[in-house]
Amino acid sequence: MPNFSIASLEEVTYMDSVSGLEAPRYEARIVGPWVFALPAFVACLFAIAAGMMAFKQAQHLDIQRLVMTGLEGALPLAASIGVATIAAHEPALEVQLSMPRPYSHTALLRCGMLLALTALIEGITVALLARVWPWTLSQSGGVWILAWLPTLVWFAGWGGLLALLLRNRAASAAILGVIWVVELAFHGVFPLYGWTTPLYVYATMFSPEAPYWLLNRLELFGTGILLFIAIWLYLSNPEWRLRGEEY
Amino acid sequence: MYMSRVSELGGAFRAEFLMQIRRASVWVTIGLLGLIIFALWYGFAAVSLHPHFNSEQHIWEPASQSDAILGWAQLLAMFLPLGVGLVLADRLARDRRLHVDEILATQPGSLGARLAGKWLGSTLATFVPVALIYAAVVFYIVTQAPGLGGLALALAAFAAILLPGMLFVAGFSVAIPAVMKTPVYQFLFTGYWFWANLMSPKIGIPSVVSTMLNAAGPWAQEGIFNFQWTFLQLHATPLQGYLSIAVLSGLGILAVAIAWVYLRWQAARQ
Repeated sequence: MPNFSIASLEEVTYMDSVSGLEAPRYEARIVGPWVFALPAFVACLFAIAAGMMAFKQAQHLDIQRLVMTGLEGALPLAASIGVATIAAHEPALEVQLSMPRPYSHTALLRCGMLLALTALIEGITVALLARVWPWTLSQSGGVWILAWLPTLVWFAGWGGLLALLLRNRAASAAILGVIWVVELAFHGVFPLYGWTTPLYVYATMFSPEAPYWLLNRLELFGTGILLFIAIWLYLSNPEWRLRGEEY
Repeated sequence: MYMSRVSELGGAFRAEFLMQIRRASVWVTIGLLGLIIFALWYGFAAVSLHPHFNSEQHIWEPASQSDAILGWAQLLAMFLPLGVGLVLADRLARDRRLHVDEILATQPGSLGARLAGKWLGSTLATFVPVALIYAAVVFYIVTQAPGLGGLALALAAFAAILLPGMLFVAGFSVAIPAVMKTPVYQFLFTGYWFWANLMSPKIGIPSVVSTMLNAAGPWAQEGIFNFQWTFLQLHATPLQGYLSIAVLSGLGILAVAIAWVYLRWQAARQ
């Protein structure tokens, strides 16, 4: 039994008649502001933790690791949980599928909004760190975009696709959460084998100077783009999407 | 009155157990995570199945069935409770989303019995795929390093190392989404799991990793089975091992009890 309300029907119907900058505002209302607040919440958590470590005069390496865990891993994980929510949960699915605008466009617009917001937070954080604590960043300039953008797209792509395939966002978060922790705990293993290197999320934190670093970033980014194409294909098939969420 | 509560708990348990065990996503998720953890075990601990050279102590070591079994239990306890907790996190949210809680509130049954039944039913159903994966690898170990004593050890390791941690996370994962959005809890719980259980004390961040709040089973593993946990040397006694089991299981029950008090207070306000 889907959680369907008149309010969501009104918003969806209205959505079809709005355009331009109004559309994202209404999409954010339908998805729920808390989904978009999650990356900012995560950034604040890590900023507080890093501030406390600096206050306690912790070693620079430890603070750097914490900051990098936030940039390279935690914000992308938060985005993946948000994308999983957007992809799997749609209270007014039947109405969405009957609209002139394809539902895949609507869902991907929502995912794009969340990714853009997370990328903005990542970008502002890196810019601030470069000014205040440059020692936390082991590389400089435009290369820094490769520290977080590939992992952001990779995590978000997996989050969305797993939520659709498993028809359950909690299951998607479970798989990605365990992978996130396994990669942190066994970070030394992933560079050792050819087939695990393209899955190595924390390459910037643990081996920024490694010869495979750039290839790893490009592979993660490319995989992420392929995953979003798969999400788009899945969402474009109303029969698959109508199977709904497994409660 | 007492019989009525037991009957309500039994009914809620049966419904939640059947619902959870029929969810394909639970089987696929736990299966996939089991496969990842098996790959790690195969890479790091399966060497115990055959005589091998220990490069740290520079000695040849004989095959050890017990090391292989305890290594398997250790790796599962390090990661699988996290997956179990994240899978269970949407149980209360499901009732709210489908308005099942409102329908149940109009019925004469008690909230406490329903919540306890939900926790026990969904938790035990999630343990079924975990137990099957655990048993499959134990069977493999026993075929590679024969000895029926391994089966008793495997059963004891499951009960002492894996089960308390899973009861702990299951309690919190059923309870905490009562007060916050499930995805927010899932993110916080993932971070918590690494911080509280797997982060080395050498990193200069205060953590509970070497206390009995560590749900990955280091105290039971070292205290009861005399098998050192990956990066901690606790010098734990058997008593401390049993105490850690009681602490973790008790905290899981406490979390559900607190959620019950909160939900009752919330219902009284409406």
